[in-house]
Amino acid sequence: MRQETFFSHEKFRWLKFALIALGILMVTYSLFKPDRGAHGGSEYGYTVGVLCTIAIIYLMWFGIRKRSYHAYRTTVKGWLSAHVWLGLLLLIAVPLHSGFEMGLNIHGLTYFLMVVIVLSGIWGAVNYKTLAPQIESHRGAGNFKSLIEQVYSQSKALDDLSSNKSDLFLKFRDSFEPKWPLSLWQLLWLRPDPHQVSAPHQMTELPESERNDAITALQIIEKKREVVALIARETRTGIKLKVWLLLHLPLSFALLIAVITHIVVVLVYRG
Amino acid sequence: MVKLTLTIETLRANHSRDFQTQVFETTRLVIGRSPSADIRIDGRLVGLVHAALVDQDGQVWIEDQGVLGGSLLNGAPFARKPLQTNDQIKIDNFVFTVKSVKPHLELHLLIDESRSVDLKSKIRADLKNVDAVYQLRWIRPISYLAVTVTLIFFIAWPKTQASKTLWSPGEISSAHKTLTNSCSSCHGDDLSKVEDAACLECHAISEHVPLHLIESGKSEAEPSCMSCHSEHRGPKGHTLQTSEACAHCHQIESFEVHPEFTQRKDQSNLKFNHAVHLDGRIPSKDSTKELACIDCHQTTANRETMVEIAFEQHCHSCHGLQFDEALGELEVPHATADDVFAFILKTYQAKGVSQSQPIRSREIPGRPRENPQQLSPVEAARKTEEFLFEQGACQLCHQIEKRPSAAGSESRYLVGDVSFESSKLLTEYPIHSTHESFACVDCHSQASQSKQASDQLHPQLKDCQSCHKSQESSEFVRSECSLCHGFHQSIKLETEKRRHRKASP
Repeated sequence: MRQETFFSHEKFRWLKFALIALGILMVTYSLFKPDRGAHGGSEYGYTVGVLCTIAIIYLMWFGIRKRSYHAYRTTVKGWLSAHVWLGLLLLIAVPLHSGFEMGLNIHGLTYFLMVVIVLSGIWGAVNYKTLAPQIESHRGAGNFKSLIEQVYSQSKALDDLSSNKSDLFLKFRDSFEPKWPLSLWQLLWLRPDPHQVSAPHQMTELPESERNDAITALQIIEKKREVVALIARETRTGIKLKVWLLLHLPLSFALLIAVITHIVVVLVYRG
Repeated sequence: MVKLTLTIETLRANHSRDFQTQVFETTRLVIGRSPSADIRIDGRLVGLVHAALVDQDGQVWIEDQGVLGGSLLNGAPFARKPLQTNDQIKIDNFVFTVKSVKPHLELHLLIDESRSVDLKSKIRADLKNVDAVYQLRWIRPISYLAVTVTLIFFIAWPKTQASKTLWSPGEISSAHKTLTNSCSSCHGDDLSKVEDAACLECHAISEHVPLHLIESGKSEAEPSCMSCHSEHRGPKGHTLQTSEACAHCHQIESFEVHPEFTQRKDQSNLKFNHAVHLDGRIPSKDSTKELACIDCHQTTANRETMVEIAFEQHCHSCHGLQFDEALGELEVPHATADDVFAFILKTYQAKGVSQSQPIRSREIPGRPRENPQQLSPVEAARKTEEFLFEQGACQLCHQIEKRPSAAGSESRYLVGDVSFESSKLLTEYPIHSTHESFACVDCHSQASQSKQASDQLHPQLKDCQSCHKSQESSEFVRSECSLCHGFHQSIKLETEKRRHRKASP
């Protein structure tokens, strides 16, 4: 049986809710013809504006609910499902509120900010959808700690093998051994070397007495290369799953300020 | 002979320092990983024989052997160089400092163990590095930054600007364009909600608007300027366009129950038969087709009002003003009766005419043709005048009255003053330019039956109602009261105010 995700939570309860709400908003929009044309200051505009504000506060409340470990009446998955579908609903509800009037001012920019936040949320959700199976496939490889410990033990084994060896042996090791530690950026951009190691050629340059050790070193290096590549892949996946939050969360706080400013300015200057 | 004192300083993890001094005296001093090297250092990029110090001409030289990672002298690669005081030699992670070169070479090697970390710490650092949650620690500072930028851009910066365009919900209407940078003109010095008093400062309002309601302390339910007018909604602005407001007093809820238009009569003192002109028998000026409305009624450059009917332009091509057969095509001027009489008299006197044959005084069947009489020029002119004003071209279009008496040079006739009351549009709506795709008779349906010049021929209610239906109708075409009826006819910007506005920034 297919596992229920936050998209399909309770048989798409929140998607259905969002679609019904959208239907109601669109029908009422077409029914109510404000005297002075559709705009945010009409009775319909104010009503939908208030609903959108409540929705934004509700969406942001998810950050608090997520950390309320003692709450038991609702599930975090349910909240996340509502968060996703109501967030998407806002993309259309807000233009309905403003009667599709949008300008280059704080009011239009507030909507623009909200669109960026929703898009970053979509990016995050898509990342989650596509990367979740990958995370599962990596599980057999052990956790980060054991992988990193493997790298160090392989380095130590290579150090031991290199002790009192010729300069050529050290050069041989240096040309094949993957670098460690790597910075976050190096890990994110690390791609497996498409060129196979041409060890035999360099092997012939080594003193005969060191060739057996060189073969052992190559085997260790090959394993180390695999482990480093796995760490890089895992790191990339982990970062991809979270990086959208660097946009989503700070902009959400900015949106809160923008919405408050929008409301205050509109109410003070209304007419 | 190289004489060298090497001091190895080891900085321990507890920040204590150990010093170890070695003295060498040899011709060639080897630095490297080899057990036989004089100065032994071990590292992944250190060769067995990595570099050598040699004495030549009383100077100590360093030679790089070019293996593995090579060596750097003061940060630059080299093959062979003499050493100077304060030079730095870097091999892999080892840094030798030349303390002095005279009287003998003194080298200093610092091995910093205080910063070296154990395996556990290295693993801990690597784990942090790859931990996505740890990397999210930037969310908080980025959030502070985003909030600060928003506060500045949304609140602080617009507050310092005079125009406040960032706060403005939309472009100001073209009527108020001059006030774009002067928010306080409408919003007051405290930049608050617009009060009607601000509008009334410039706009004089007709009695049609219940002034007493606007000026008195009113409740929300009472009308204000903003009840009907919105600003910051684009260049055209937005004005209430329903009939409901009018229906409060006028009890006409929609155009469908509009009373029949009043068809008044013109006092134009003209005679004109639209029916004859439009019955298809009269050709147009260029004779290629029938006379049509447009041959006489043309719109002005604004495509709205009509060019006034002028005899020379619209009538003369058919209605000539010849007055005497003997004088051929000579015509009297289209002028006052006195001028016409004066012209005839002057013509007869000049030509010495003693007998007249007024044009159209033709032979009538059964009646003998009048014989030309011997008359003086004055008598002949009077006779021609009488014919023109009583039977000829003048009486065809004009209301003529005969004077009881007239002086010698005066005409005996009076022509009624011509005025076209019906040419004035009764609506402020650009009615002709918006109806160009229609034929004239679609709206002026009475024209082809009209025989009197006094018929104003404005559209009848049914002509308009055939298209203009209420909002509830499936064939809705705008029909609210204000479409045709001006609401604020007396609104105007006082000259003084206008000047004041232009002067202010």
